[in-house]
Amino acid sequence: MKKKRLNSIRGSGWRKIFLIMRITVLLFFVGLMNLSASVYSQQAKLQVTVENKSILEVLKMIEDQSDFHFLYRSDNLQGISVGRIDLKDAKLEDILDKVLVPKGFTYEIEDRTVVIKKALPVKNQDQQQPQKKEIRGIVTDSKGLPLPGATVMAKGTTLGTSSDNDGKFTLIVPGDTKILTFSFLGMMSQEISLANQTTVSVVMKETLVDVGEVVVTALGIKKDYRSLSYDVQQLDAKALTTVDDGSIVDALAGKVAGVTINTSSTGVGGSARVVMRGTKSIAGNNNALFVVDGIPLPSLQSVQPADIFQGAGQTGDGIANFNPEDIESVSVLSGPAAAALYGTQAANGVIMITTKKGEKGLSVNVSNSTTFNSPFVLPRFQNTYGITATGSYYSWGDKLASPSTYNPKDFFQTGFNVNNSVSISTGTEKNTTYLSLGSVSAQGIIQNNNLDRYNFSFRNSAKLNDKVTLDLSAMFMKVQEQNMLAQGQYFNPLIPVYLFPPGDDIRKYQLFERYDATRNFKTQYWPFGDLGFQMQNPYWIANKDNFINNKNRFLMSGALKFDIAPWINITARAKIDNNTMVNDKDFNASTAGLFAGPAGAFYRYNIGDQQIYADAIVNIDKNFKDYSITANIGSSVQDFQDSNASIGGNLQSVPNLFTYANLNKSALQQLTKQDYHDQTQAIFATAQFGYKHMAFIDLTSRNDWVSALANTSTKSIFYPSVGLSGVLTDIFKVKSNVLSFVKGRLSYSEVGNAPQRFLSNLTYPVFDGFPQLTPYLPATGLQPERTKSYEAGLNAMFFGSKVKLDVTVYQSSTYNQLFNPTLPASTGFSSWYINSGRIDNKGIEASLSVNQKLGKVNWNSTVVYSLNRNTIKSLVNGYTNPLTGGKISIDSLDMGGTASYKMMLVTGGSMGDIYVNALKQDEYGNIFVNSASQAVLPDQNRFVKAGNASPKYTLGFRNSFSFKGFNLGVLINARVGGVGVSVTQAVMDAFGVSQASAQARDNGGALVNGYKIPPQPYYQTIGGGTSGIGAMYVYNMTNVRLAELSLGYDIPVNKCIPWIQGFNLSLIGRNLFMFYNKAPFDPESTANTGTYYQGIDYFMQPSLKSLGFSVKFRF
Amino acid sequence: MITNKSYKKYGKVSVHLLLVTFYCLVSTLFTNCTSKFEGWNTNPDQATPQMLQADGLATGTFFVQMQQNVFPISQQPAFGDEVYQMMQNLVGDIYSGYMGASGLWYSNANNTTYALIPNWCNQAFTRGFVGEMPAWNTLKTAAQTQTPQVYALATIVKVEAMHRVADMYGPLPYINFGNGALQNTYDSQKDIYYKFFDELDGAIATLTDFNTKNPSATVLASYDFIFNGNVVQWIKFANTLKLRLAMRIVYADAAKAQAEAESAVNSPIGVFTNVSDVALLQQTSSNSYNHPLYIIAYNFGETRMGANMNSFLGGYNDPRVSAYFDKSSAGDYRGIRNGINITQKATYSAGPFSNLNISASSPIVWMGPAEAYFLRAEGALRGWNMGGTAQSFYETGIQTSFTYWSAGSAAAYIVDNTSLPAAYTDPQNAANNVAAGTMLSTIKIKWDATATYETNLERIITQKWIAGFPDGQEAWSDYRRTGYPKVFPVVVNLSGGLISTTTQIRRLPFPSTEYAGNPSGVAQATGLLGGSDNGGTKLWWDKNPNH
Repeated sequence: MKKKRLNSIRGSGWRKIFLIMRITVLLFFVGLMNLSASVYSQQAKLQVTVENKSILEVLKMIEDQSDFHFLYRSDNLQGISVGRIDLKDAKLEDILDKVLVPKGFTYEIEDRTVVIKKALPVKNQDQQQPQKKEIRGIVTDSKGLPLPGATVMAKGTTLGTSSDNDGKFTLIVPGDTKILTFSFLGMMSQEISLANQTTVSVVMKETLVDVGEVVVTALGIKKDYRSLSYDVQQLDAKALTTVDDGSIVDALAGKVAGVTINTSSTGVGGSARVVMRGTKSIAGNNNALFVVDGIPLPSLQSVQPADIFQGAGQTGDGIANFNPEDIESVSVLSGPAAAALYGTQAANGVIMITTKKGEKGLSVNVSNSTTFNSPFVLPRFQNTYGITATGSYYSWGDKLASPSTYNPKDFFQTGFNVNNSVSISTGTEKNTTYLSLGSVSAQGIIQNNNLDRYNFSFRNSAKLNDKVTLDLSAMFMKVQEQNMLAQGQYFNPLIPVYLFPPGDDIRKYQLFERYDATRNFKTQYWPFGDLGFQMQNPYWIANKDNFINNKNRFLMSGALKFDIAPWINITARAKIDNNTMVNDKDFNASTAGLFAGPAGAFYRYNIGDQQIYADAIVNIDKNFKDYSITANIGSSVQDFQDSNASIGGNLQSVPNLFTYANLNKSALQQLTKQDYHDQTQAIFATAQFGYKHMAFIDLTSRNDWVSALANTSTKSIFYPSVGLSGVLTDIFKVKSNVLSFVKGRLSYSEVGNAPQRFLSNLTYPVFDGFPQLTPYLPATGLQPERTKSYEAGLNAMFFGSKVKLDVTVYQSSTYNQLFNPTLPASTGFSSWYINSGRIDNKGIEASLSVNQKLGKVNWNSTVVYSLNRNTIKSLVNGYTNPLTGGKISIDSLDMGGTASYKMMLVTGGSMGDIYVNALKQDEYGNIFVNSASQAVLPDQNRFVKAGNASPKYTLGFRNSFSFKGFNLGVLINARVGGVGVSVTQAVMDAFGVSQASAQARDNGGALVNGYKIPPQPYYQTIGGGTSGIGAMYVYNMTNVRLAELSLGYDIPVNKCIPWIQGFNLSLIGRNLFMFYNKAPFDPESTANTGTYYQGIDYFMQPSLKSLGFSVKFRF
Repeated sequence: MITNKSYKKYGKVSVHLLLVTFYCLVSTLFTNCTSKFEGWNTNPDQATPQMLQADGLATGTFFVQMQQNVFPISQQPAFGDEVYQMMQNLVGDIYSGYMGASGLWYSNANNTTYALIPNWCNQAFTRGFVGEMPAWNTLKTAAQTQTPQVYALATIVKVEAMHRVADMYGPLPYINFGNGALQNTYDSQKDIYYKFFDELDGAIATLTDFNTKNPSATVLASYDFIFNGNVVQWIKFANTLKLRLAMRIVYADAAKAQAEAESAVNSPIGVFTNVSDVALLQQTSSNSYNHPLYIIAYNFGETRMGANMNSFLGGYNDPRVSAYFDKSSAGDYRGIRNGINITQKATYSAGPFSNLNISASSPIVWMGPAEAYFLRAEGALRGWNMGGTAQSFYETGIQTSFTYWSAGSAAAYIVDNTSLPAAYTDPQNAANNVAAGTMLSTIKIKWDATATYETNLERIITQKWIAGFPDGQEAWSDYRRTGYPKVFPVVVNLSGGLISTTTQIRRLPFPSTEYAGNPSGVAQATGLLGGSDNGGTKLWWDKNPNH
C-alpha cells in the first residue's frame, strides 16, 4: 500500500488549516457511513529503536510503518532531538508519550490523523529536560484497608499509574508537578497537593452520589439529590435543545416519567397539554405549573376549542413564548409533594426552568436550527370514483376512466421553522452578564399560517460586596401569529380539501377570487355553498379570512441575596410579567354570510395580563457534627390582573377596510369587557433535618390567602407535607461495586386548589345595557379542592453510576371537586356550582438509564415509563341542596362534545372516558339491517362507552451514542392504550372520498354482520350528519414513533482556529416515522390543551413531521 | 464597559428599589392583608345587587329580561339569533308553512325532515325556564306586595312567553316553578292553561284597579318596550291573550273556552280593536336589536318564503306579498317547500327563491291587531257572544291586516270569490311540486254564509294565518288545532314512523337535559301527556275530531 507522505504539507499554517478542514469534512462523512469506525490507533503495533535522532525522523519512521500521518507546524519541531528509545510492538501513544511529551508537546489522535501542538502554558524551549521526581505512596479506604487498582495521575498530564494489590504505587512525575489526583470506582476523586514530599498516603471516601447531585427544587431552592423525599427529574439544556422546534414543552415528551404531553394541533408556536400523574380536577385546570427561576409563570392559556365549530385563530400559551436557548436546565416535579411550596397552583405538578446566567470569561454562542415540515399522519383518500352528479360535492358517482391525480396532500406546502439565536456570556468573579437574542421564523404547512417570534433576554449577577448578591434580569418577547388552526368547521380549509371530489378539478378553484363586475373587485369563487360544514373555498379561507395575533411580553425581575452568616442568608425577589396581546380577525368581503357582511367583517380583541410576584425567604443551612438542617422560611405575594376588551362586527360600506370607523354600528358584536384581579398571599416554611448525610426528614407547610375565597366560609388554605428519605446503602453499610447506591423515600402531602373567582359574590351580567340573572344557581359554601397524595420511591445505582434506576409509586385523591354540572332547565338554571366528589389517581413512574462505553463509543440509554390509573370515586353523593335541604346524588356528568362523541364522567369510570352514539342493534346485538332496504339505522339516544382517551402507559426510549465528536441521538416514544374518535373519517366516508368507501365499492358492498350491503346509504348513515355515528369511528390510539433523531458532529475547528471553541453541525428530525399507528390521525396531537375534548379528530390540522439541521458555534 | 464606580452606583439604586419592593410586600402582608379581597372577588364588569337598587332596576331590568325572552333576542343563556332559529324558525315557522328552510344541517336529517335534533328541541324549554321564569320569580319577590301593578305586567308577559312553550311540549313544570327543587314535577297542560287564565284574570284585576285609582299613571314606563307603561293597553293585550288561549282549548274543554272567551271580549276594557293595538317589542334607542329573522335570512341564508305562502298569496293575488317577501332572483315570488331533499345548501339558499322582506330594525310582533277579529269571528261562528257576527269580524280582520301592512283597501280582496290557492312548483326539483289535488286547499276569500261550518272555519283560519305572518309558532298551533290552512306535507320523512306525514308533526319531545337531570319528572310528564314522548303525540288541546 502506497503511503501518502505528508512532507508536502509542511509550509504555511494556513494551508494546514485548509487541509484540516478538508479532513474534517471527510471524517464527517466517514463518520456518517460508519460510526463504529475502527480504533486503529489501538491496534497498530509499532517498532521504534533510535538514539539521538530528531523528532521529525521518529515521526517519519512511524508514518512509514503505519497509516498514521502527522500534522504540525514544522518550525516547532525542527531541530529537536530525542534520546534513546527502544520500543517493540508499542502503541502509538506510548511512543508519543516518550518522544513528544517530555519536550513540551501534546498530541491528539483523530483516527489516523495525529495533530501535534505545543503544550500550554508554553514552556521555555531553552530549558532542557525538566527535572523529574519519584512519588511513592499508599491508597486506603476509610477503614484503613489498602485499595488496589486506584488510579493515580499527575494533574494536567497523561502520566499515571495504578495502585498495586497492597494499595501501593510509585509514579515518576515532572519536577514541577503540584497536584496528584486519585480516583477509584465508587469513591470520590481526590486531589493531593505536593509540596516537597515524595511520599503520600491517601484515604479514599466512598462516593456519595454521582454527578448532577444538586437539583433545583421548588422556589428555585437547590437541594442535594440524596436528601429528597420526592421525585425530581432534571434534564439539561442539551436534552431539550438538540432537536429544537422552538418549543420547550414539546421537547420534554418521552423524556420524563409521569408526564403526559400532547402537542396542540395548531402547529408551530402552539400550546401543549402537560398533565402529570393524571387529571385531578373536574372543573379546574389540570395542566402543570411552569416556574422560571423559582417564580411561577401565569399560564396565559387561551380558550380552547371544545365543539365542532371552533378551532381557527388559536394562540400559543405563555410558555410557548420562551426561547429554548435561554434554558440551562429543567426540573420536573411531577408530584404534589415536590411542589407543595407553590401552594394552590401546584396540585398538578411543576416544571421548573432554570435560565442561563453569565459565566466568568467571555463566550459567545451562535446557533441556527432549520427544519422543514410536512404533514405526519393523514387519512387515506380514494381517487377512483367520480362525483355523484354535476355540481355535487359528493363522490358517489361512477368509477373514473383513469384515477384522478387529485391528492389532498398537495394542498399542504412545505412548512419551515428557522430558529436563530445569539447569546453572549461574560463576566468576572464578581459580575457576570448574559445576553441573548433569538428569533423564530416559521411557516406552517397550510398557506398563510406564519409565526414570527423575537426574544431578547438579559441577566446580570453581581456580588456587590462580600455579603450582597444582586441578580437582575429582563426578557422581552414579541410574537406574531397568523392563522393558527386547530380543528373545527369554521375557517378550516381542510374540510373542503379533504372532501373535494377527486372527479372534479381543484385547479378550477385555486383562483379563489374572481372579478365581480357589479362590485368592481374580486370576490370569492365557490359555487358549492357551505354544505352544512361552513365550507368556503379553501384557498379563500387560507388567504382572505385572517386571524392575526400580536403579543408583546416583558418580564423583569430582581433578586437580592444577603449573607448574614455563612449558614444563613435572606433573599428577596420580585418579578413583573406583563403581557399584552392584540388579536384581529379580518374577514374579507364575500366571506360567507355567517361570518361577515357584504363589505367584510372585523373584530379586535385587546388582552392584557400583568403578574407581580414578590417573596422574601430566609435560608438556613447548618451542620452540627452528624446532624444537618436546611430550612427556608418565607412569605410571598402573587398578584395577577387581567383585562380583556373586544369589539367587532360586519363592515358598513368600504370593503376590506378593517377599522372601527367602518363597522356597522347597529350590528356590533363581541362587545365585551372582562377584567379580574386575583391575589394570593402566602407564608411558608420548609425544613429538612439530616443525620449523617444519610437519613432525612422533610417538612413543609404553607398557608395561602386567596382572593377567590373571599366571601366564603374558608378563609385560607393550609398545605402540609412530610417526607422521609434514607440512603439505604449507607444506613446498612452496603459495600458493593454492583449495588452502589440505594435511596428509599416516602412522602405525604396535601395541596388545595382555590375555587373559580367571582362565584361567591352574586352579580348580574349586563347585556345590551340591562342586567340579567346569571344562568347558574348562586354558589354558597364554596370550598377549595384538596388533593391528598402519597408517594414512595426508590433511587438506585449500580456499578458506580453506570446504571441508574428511579421508581416512584403514588396515589392521590382529590376531594371537594368544584364542578358546574348542567341542571335540568326546569330548575330555572342552566348549571350550578358545588363541591363534592372524589377523583383518585394512582400510578408508577420509572426511569432506567445506562451509561456505558461500547469500545470508544459512549452510550447512554434511558427508558422512561409512566402508568396512571384514574378513577372517579364519586361525583355528587348525598349532597345537601342549600335551597331545600334535600339530598342530591348525581352519578354521571356530560362534559360536552359533538353529536356523536362526548366526554362523560361516571362514578366508577375515569376522567377522559369517551362515549359515542351507535347504530341500532337487533335482539342479538348485531347491527340492525333493514331486510328490505338494506339500510342501517342510527340510534339517536343510545350512547355507549368507547374507552378512555388517556394512555394505559407510555414509554420513552432515548439513546445517545457519542464517538469522537459524533453524536447520534434517537428517541422512540410509545403510547399504549386509549381510544379516539375520528369525525374526519366519518365525514369523508359520507362524502365518498375515503379509501374505505372506494374499497367497499370495489368489493361490491360494505361488510356488515358478514354480509355486503350497498355502500352509499351505509356510509352516508354512519358518516352522516355533522359528526356521524361515533361508534363506527373509534380507533385505538396506541402508537410507536421515531420521535426524535439527531446526528451531530463537533467539528474540531478549534485546532486551527483557536478562538472557535465549538462548532457543532447536526441533522435533526422529529416525528419521522410511525412504527405503529392504526388511527387516521396523530393520537398525540390534540385540538384542546385543556381537560376535556380529548381523543377527537374533527378535521384537526395534521401534526408535523420535520427534518432539518442545526449549526451551533461557540466562541 | 461598566466602571467600578458606576457599577457600585447602579447596584445601590437596585438595592434601594428592592428594599422598597420588599417594604411594600411586607406592608401588604401584615398591615391590610386581605381587606381588598372581597372587592377583587366581585366581578367588576357586572352589576351588584346594591347597584340594582337605583332607578327601579331591581324590577325593571328583570322585566326587560322577560320581554327579551318571549322571542329570544337576549344573549343569555345563549346567543339569541341561533336560539330563535332552533326554537322558532326551524319549528313553527316551517311547520306552519310560513317559511322554507334553505339551509342544510345534519345531511338533511333534521327538524325539517322530522329527524328531530335533540339540541334544537331543548332550546324553547331552556329559554322559558332559564330565561323567562327566573326573571319573573325574582321580580315577584320585589314587586308582588310593594308594586302589584308591576307584578301584573310581568305575569302577563310570563303567560305570553310560556303558553308558546307549553304549546310545543305539552306538560311543563310550570305551576310550582321556583321552589328551589332540582327535580321538579310536571303539570298537565290542562292545569297549566287553567293557571294561565287565573294569572291573566289576576293581572287584569290588579291593573284595572290601578288604572281606576291612577287614571293617567304609567307602570314601569322606562323598562316597558311593549306599551311604554300604558296600563289600558296592557289590559287589552291580556284580554286578547286570554281570548287566544280560550280558543286554543276549544276542542278539549269547550265550556271553559267559551266562558273565558266571552269574559275577555265582554270585559270593560276589552280586546284589541284598533290597528294601533299591537303588542310588539319596539326598537328604541334603549332597546335596539337585530330581528333574528333578518340574521337567519340574510346572514345565515337559511330561511326563505314558504311554499304555502307562495301558494296562498300568489293564488289570491294578495297585495301583502310585497310587504312580507322580496322577489326572487327570477323576478317572481317563489317559496321553498319543507321536508324536501336538499343535498347542497346553495341549491335553495342561493337559488331563485324569495327572501323575507325584513330589516334588522324590524320589530318583533307578539300579537297583531287583526288576530282579535279572527278569534272573535271564530267565536261568533261557534255561536259565542263575541259582540258581532262572524262575517263582520272576518272582514274587519282582513282590512285591519291590510291597513297594518299598508296594503291599502281590502274591499276588492274581501269580495274575491274566484281566486284559489295556486299550485306550487319548485324550480330546482319537480319532485316537490304540488299540483291541484288533495294537498292543495280550495278555500276562497269571500265570506259565504251558506257554506258549511267547517268551510267557514277554514276560511277564517286561512285569513288569520295570512295576517299572522311571521309568527309561525302561533300559526302552527292553529294548524294543529284546526287543520287549517292546508300545509303541504313533508316530502322526506325521517322520523322512523314516529310522525305521520299526513297528520304532520304535533309537538316536540321533552329536552334531553331533562332526561339527564330530571328523569323522574320526564317520566311523570310523559304520563300526563298520555302518549309517547315524540313528535307524533297530540297535546291535550289537540283534540279536533276532524284532524
